[in-house]
Amino acid sequence: MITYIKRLPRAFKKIYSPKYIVFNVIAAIAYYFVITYFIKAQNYGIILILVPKYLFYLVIASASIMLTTGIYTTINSLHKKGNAAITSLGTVASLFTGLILGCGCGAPALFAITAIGASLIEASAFASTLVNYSMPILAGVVVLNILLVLYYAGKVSMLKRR
Amino acid sequence: MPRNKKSRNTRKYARSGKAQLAANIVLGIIILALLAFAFMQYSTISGQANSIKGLEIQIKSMNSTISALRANSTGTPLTETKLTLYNLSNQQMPQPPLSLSAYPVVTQQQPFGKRLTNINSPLNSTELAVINDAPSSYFETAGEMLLNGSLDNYVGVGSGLQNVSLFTVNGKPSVIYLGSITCIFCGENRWAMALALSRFGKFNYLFKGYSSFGDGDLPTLYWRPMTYSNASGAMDIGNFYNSSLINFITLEDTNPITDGFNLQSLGQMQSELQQINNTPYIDAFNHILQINTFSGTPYTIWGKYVIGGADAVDFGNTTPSSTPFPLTNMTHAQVLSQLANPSDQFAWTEYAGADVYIATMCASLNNSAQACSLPAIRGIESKIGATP
Repeated sequence: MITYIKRLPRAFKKIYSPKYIVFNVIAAIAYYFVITYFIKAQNYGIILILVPKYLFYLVIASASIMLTTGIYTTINSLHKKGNAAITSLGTVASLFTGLILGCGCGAPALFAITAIGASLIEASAFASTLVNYSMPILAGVVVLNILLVLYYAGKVSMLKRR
Repeated sequence: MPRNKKSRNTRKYARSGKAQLAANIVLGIIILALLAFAFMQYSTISGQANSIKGLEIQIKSMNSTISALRANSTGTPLTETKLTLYNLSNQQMPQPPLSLSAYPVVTQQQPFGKRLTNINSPLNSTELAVINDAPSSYFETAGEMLLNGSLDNYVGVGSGLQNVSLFTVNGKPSVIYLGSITCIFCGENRWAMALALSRFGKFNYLFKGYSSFGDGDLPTLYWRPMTYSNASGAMDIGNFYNSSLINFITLEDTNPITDGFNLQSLGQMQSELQQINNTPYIDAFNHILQINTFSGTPYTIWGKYVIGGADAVDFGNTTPSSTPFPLTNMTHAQVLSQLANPSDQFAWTEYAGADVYIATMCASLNNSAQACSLPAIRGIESKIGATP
């Protein structure tokens, strides 16, 4: 464990070449726009965030770092399919926060589950639960992203130099 | 393995890796684009679905009427239809209390953004008169501004009106409101609702309130004293509105105002209403469930028209792109002062929002109310497709 932690700075140094720093910044900007788009679409064009703003920015930062490390690992390891799948999972989870964050008084996006057979009462229970637990859900997504970043960093630290 | 073969394999892996990454990125972009497209289309589709549902409900109502007429003419029993036509008579509307000892008026001054100052206190007669006795000319001017496009804030009916059957109690059609005290859009929209309702009747009491701290802390009106710090949530029903033309049915979900936006599920609300046990309110809630288009608060039914969401976005003189909102830093006195002598976009938007509600109600009343004679109201009826 201690060896693993010691290896992390080296792994991040390996990942964050200028090219990947630029990629990380672009990913963060893209996340910001996609998530705020989801929020605005549900709130008459207003960025109305239900949780403290630091949590909103934490999601964006952690998601963009996860995507960057995920892509680096996917390119440089032999288990590309598995890594790509994990990265996609983290990306979808992070983007989903946009739906929760925008789920204020009106939650048209979440009520879309009525289109796949859920009753109005079930849809409202779903939306209500997501709204009421928006903080822990977002915190969970941040933790998931951090765990994935650590997982990737661990893998990168074990990659041999080509 | 020979060195050059190993090197070739490494290059091969690297090439296939890059190709796979490129494919993944392209796939990802396509998926994201499709998601964004689907999301954009959803609002349009849901609007169309609402119209279709409205037509479906109208057809069912007509079938029901035909069945009733047949039953009358032939003496055969009425056939059951899936849609309930609500025409309740001899019903008692609930009488809410004028104050709640567990949720008292807060008298101390608190800072903007985190205030409960005067919450649950009734409007005095001068303040109430601003709502009850607003001159018709204000509604006309705001309506004209809406029609000629000179309002900066959004006013309208979103994806369109949904046509449903009238919910009639004691011979009068109803306005049904389902909202939440914690909700920012309910907060800003109650001003317009109160102004609109004042055209068809009078409020004997209205109360000062706020949206939740996490949702703007906007000064607003409450229909009755609210259980503003009930951690387990509750339904506060009823109001002090009187009208010879219409009923006003108010279903307000309450949660702690000091938190953020919170909403109980419709299932929870329904079970709480069953406990309160008032037939018009239980049936009004069932009417909402039957219409099946609720997707957040505020949700209002004005006679035969459903308006999902707020009909105006009014947080100040322009619609801000993010918090804090100008309205957050206004007191009730300042809002009422603006409404008493409208001179800015904020006040005109409230009146224009009220006009849209008035137009839908007028169309439901065959333009029989005095307010319906305003040219701007007729114009808005035509603009939003509300026909008598």
